[in-house]
Amino acid sequence: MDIEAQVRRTLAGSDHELIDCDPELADTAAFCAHYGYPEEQSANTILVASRRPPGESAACVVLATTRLDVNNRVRKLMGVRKASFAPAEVTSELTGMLIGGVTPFALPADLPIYIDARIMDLDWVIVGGGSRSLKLKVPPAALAALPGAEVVEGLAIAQPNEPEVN
Amino acid sequence: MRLRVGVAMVALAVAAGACGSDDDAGATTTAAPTTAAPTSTTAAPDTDQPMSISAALEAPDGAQVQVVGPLIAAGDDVRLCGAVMESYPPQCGEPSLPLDGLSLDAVIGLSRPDPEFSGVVWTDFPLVAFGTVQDGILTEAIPIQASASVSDTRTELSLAVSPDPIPGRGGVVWLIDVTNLTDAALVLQFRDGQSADVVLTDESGTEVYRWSADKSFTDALWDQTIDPGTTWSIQLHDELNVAPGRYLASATLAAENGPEVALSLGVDVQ
Repeated sequence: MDIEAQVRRTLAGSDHELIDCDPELADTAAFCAHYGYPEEQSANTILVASRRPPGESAACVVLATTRLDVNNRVRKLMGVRKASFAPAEVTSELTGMLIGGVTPFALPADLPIYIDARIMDLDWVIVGGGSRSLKLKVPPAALAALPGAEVVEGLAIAQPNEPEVN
Repeated sequence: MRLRVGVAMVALAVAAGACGSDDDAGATTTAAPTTAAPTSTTAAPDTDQPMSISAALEAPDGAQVQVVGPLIAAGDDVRLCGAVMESYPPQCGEPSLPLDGLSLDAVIGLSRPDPEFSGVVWTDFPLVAFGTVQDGILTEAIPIQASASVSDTRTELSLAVSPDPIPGRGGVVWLIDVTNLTDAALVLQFRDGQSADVVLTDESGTEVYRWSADKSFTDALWDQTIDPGTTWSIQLHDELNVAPGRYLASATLAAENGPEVALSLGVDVQ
């Protein structure tokens, strides 16, 4: 089953919106600027891979305006000594998706999904649709309901000028 | 083989700060850097090629040799290792060659573990060391790394490459060290998964290679904190396909809040 079909099946019957996107504008800042969505309600799905020991991976869903705490929070969640962003080829191997199009709705079943708790405060959020030509507008509850998903406080760090949401 | 320690070529560029926030701690807006020129040596080894650890252990006392192997330093016990045991931190496997007198500050690209393992550092690449064999120890040992360093008032940036000389086709690791020279934590902020870049230009100034050119980077904001007086080591791995010759390798950090310094190193591609 291709990625988009898997996404559609996962979201069938739930509240969501499919948004077609120019692949050249798939990166969050470009997408939001061109299509008029706020970055504050756009999330990136980021694959993190361990370096020591190698072979551990996780997906992290964080708002585009926050900083993933890969060196501390993510590393400890994964139980590894060293972790870093998965290179593009590793992301593609693990998920079958390209950077800029990774969706949390078609990830391998055994891949942990960590969701920054800030996302749960929103009415809706934009995430990747499985390719660089599709985005999804979904309620955060749809993310939290995914198998293997865990909502994590402090997964991401607010930017210096962004007020913390309490 | 030439024995080179220290600066092959240093060029410096300081650009205006790119970030406008008032609390931007990284942008360098004034051109007042200094260059740090490591020392050089003219000592000549008895052989042109680096030898294995086993060969060095069998060398006669007094022989001046270059030896290659991954380095592991546990406190004062600094060795080149015939094998690396994949624990964390890694442990030195036999045969191993103790190094006497080697300054770890002179090695670019050291991996440093979490604080609970302080006292152990290592290289994830084979390091070449030069020294004199004496009773199974490489004495007066110095690292052989073509390197360049540049600093502003807050940071020092160093660049080296492994292996050196670089094979025209095959694996290469660009080693970039960022040292916080201040007494406050330095938080570098990045807009995507790219932490640095390296560009090779030929003698005419034409760009022949850019590490980031064939790569895409995760769309993610992230920080790297460098504590006062400590060093963050970046390793950029790649497969190189460049014609043999002499090139200028220029390294820059991708941090949006600086340090906006760039440095260049003359490198040979075989």
